[in-house]
Amino acid sequence: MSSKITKTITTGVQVKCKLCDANIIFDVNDSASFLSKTEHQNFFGMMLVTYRVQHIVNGEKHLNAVLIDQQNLFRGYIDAYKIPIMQEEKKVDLADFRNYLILEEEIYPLTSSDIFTNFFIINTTGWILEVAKLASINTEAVLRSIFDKIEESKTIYENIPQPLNIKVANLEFYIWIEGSTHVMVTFQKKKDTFELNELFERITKNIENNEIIPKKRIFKILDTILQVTDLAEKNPDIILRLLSDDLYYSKIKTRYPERIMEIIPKISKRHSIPKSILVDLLFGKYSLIELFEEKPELITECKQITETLDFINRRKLLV
Amino acid sequence: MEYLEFVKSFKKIRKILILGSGAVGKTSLTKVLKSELPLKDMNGDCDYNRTLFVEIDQFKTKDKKGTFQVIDLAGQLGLPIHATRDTPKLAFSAVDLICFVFSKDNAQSLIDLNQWVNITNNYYQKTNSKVPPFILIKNKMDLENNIDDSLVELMMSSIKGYFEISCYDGKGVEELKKWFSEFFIECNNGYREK
Repeated sequence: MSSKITKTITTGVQVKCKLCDANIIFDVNDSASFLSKTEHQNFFGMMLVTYRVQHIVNGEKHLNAVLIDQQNLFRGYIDAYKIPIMQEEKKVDLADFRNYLILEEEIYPLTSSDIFTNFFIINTTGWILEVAKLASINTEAVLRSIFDKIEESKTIYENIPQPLNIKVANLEFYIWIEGSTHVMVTFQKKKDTFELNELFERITKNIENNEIIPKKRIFKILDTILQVTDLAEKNPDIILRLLSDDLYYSKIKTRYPERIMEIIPKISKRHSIPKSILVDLLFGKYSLIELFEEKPELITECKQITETLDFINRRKLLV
Repeated sequence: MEYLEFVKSFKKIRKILILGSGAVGKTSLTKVLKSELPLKDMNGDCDYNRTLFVEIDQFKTKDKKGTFQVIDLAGQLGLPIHATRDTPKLAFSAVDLICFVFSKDNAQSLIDLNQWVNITNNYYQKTNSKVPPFILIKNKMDLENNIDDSLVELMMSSIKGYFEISCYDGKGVEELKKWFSEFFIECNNGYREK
């Protein structure tokens, strides 16, 4: 097994893919270089972390969960499996946004927000999500101008700076780009650009790397989260999860509904969540996103509520 | 406790507790020790049957004079009811030996042993009783190795013995059974010396 450790460079780790023996390199300090990270309890004096890493071979993604110790040495495989990847979709004509699919057009974008004035997510494989936009804006015309300037930037810079700052009419757009994914925002206050830069960079990478189709409802809730919580600064992982985890959309089904009323007081006390909310959630009256839409005041508790659901899920009480 | 020791010694019976994650082969281990046949020779009895709560079985020492009573607990600690929480006395009291089992192809099953060791130590600490000796068993030696040996070495200082076996093809089982028989004698001699 020790032959699997081929190289260790400070925070860089190189492991062999269990499926094809190819080298996979990732950096424990760069969350974009791995898919997920799970820290284990102290294992007889050794601190172990599981990293989920992937590489692409012949139209397949090889996913490996590898155990790494505190010195970034490989200590074993938790699992490894492969999944086929879809053929890359044919890119549409960038200049012709009429061919783009407007996601969730039936849901109105935000028109008044303390954070954003405009917020678009565009994937050049052919879709657009309008999270927020000024009522007077012609999205197609704005995007055409922005993409012209992105093309121009590509000729000027070797690596386009992130966020790229582009002025269209009197709108100051900040743009994060990762592969086909472009996140474009105009902020109410300039200081938000700096404070939210890291979060938006991670959101962009998350959408691109995990092939997520973003949902407008949850991005609208993101607006409230940024206004009423400090999660962007203190716990961005919760926000990233909120934006991509299906758990927030499904109504919860429990394995032992007859025991729910017994455990609710304990869970409520442990996690400081009102019993009435737990009843609504655990009896499947609301999905988490419906709860936040219905009672936006609960968004301040979103971290606790998420941790509570994880606590219940870890005990395998959810179906 | 003195009386219990006397009864165990007189009746020639010793209690073994088998712990470890689900599907590492705890129940299979009892089965092969009892039948003295590897799983592959048991007429297709290789299917995984999950232990729901606890299984109590027994096997004989090599000379057939002594009996080991085996308490085999469900490997899923997340079950709503688990013997370590709901009937800890049944599981832990009067135990002479604890076998921690993990599987060669499953690194997670080795990491999970940390939790099992903590649960065990907590029980004996709470009840102010002596912690029985541990042995470590790496099962499924017939499968691919997914674990760096250094992780196993970390546990070596706290265990009485380490065995690599395959319940499927029987590799290492004879050596383990021999060790159990010697341990049985050691337990009885220890009682007599006292």
